[in-house]
Amino acid sequence: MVTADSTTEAVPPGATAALADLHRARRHNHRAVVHWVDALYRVYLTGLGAAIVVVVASGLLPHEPLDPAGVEALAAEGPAWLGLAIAAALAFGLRSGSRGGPLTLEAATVQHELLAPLPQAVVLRGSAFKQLRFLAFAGTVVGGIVGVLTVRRLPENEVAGVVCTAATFALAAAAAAGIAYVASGRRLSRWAAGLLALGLLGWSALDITAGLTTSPATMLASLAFAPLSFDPLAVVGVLAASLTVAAGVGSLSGLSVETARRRAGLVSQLRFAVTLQDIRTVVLLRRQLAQETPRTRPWIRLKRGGRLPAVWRRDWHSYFRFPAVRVARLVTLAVVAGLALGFTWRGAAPAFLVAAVTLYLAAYDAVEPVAQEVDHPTRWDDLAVDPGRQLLLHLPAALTLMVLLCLVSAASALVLVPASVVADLTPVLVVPVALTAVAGAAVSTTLGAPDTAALVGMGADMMGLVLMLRLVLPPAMVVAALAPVLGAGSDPADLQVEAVSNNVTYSVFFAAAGLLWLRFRKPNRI
Amino acid sequence: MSTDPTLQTESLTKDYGDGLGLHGLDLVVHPGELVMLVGPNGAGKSTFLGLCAGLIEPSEGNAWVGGTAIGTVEARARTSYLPDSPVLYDDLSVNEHIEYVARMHGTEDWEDYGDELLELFQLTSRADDLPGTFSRGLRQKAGLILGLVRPFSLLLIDEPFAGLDAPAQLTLVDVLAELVEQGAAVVCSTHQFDLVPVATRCVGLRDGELSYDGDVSEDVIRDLVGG
Repeated sequence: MVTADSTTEAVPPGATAALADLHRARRHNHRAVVHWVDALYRVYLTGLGAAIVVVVASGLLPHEPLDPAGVEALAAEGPAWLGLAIAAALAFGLRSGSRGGPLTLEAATVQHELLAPLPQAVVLRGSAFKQLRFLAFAGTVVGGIVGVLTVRRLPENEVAGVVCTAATFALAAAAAAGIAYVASGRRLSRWAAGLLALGLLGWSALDITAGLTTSPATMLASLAFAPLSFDPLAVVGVLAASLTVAAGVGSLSGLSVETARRRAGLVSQLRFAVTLQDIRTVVLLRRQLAQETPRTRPWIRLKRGGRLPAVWRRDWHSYFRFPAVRVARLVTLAVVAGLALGFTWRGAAPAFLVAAVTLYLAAYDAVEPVAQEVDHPTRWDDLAVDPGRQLLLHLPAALTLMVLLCLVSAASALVLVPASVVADLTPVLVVPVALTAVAGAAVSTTLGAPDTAALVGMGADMMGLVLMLRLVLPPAMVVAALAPVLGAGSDPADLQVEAVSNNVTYSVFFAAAGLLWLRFRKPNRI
Repeated sequence: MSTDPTLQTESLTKDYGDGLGLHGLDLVVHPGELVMLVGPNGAGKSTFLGLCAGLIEPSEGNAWVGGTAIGTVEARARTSYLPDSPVLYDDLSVNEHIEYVARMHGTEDWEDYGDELLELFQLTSRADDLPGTFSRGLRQKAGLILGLVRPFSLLLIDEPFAGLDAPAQLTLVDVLAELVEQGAAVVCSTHQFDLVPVATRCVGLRDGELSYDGDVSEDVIRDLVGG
């Protein structure tokens, strides 16, 4: 194995100190170019954003304390559900690790530090600790917010509740990074990592259905509920998370230099594309990073000829070449959306935003044929069809795919919602939600990178507003289509289907506006 | 004294999945050899150099630097690799680059040697500047200095003449000749005829396979590149 440090005899004296000095010098140079007012302003913006999230979420969530039966049910079922979320984070870590992540080094770090005569673990430890610190901090903040929003409904010590929730989230985030380091350091194949991830998710799902605490993820989740009902297994969960982090740091020496170099190149391009808000480029680079290429042999081979329209056939050719990992991602996104809607119906109103975002992300893959036109403007321009009309011709297939995914969401919502409710709401919601998701994703894809010269001419304030609208408006269409779910009511016997139906109608106007915008797109304008 | 060749590869193969980058290459390079690595685009030259540097992992086969497997700390200490596109930190000046790269490789009296190299490549006046403001040629010079400022027994260079001005190209030829005289082995991927008089051997690659291994001349290079 190329990266194995079979000997450390050649490490020059002072090399480790030189590495530390290099990192110190870079930090010093970095600090020198960041003005303290800018740094404070960023802290202020972050704090303000977090405060807005707390206030808005606080307003959306119910305030009234849970009755004793509710508290008992939460203490009994909560750890398993939160454990499933933690298992999902661990699965995400495994996925990232099997692709060489989650560390993203700079190209210069690979060239000058990983190729230096230093043990690889020594070089990578600093970056890993930095990442772990950040993730633990982010977990603490998110966990703290969740804790603040939930303890007010519970008869527990508020401080203990917030601290335990924050600690659980911090440990879960760090463990996800830890398991990712293990996967990348031990060179786990995608299939092995996928199987392991499925195992973790399945184990948590088993805990939910059997009402047990057997999975390490459930045990760790028990920590968040400790002030409500202490389970000694929470200690095991904390230990398991800590061991995972330690094992991850211990596996750093196995990281593939080749993968690190490939990621370094792609990630720097990805960051640039994100800065430019060029979503299509971000999608393409992310696929390269994941080495996600179309299948050579399609899942289903369409017969030659046939009476179906050429564009429709071309679109299904594209879908039938989706790699297994993309198909799995689409189904997962649909399932997550369904579960989020289930939680929405059960009272966690903000969860509908999760459903909107996941369906919007799924729609990005559904509009792949549209994106192909945008990626090849000369070919698109050569067609004997008006360019905007050509884009619209791709949408029926995309809409069909999204409808299928929305039906998967509806099926997965059955886990949390009575069948009668799903049966009443599905016919009302599926087509509008699928349509807005497709329209939003197609608009976002065809937007491309912003015309910076034109934006600068608008002035700073206007530029900020335009950039924000570019980013927010497309997913807002899906949010608008799903928001009526909030008005459905929680009583299956008194479901407000008509109100939902009426409100959903408004979202169709957003979709129509998006389609109209697409109709007049031209290659040279993108 | 070690009798191991500076570089030895055995059935070195790289399969990128969508095609072979290098196919079963056997090669031995001894101390004091300056090997010109020649071939058309996509022949596998950069893949070969990346493999020997430990930057790319072989799909099959092995390679050793001074008898030590590539990728080990010892092999990394002996190998200096310069990619075709110079890789520099955006937030460190050239002088800072020199200091830390040299110290990480245990270079003694790096200050004097660094100044000497800066002078040689006419970069002294820009030594305290950040490379983000540099042209392609200046970045190439900085990259060359970093590759040379540290000790090595094997120098792997990928297209080092690209972007260099004429005086710097001649300087580089002189530097490489001097290195070879001192006993280092150099493998340089280039079609630059200026290097022919000082090169001791030419290795040709085509479609990832060895197509030539022998004496170097301008005609041989023309054949290998365009033939």
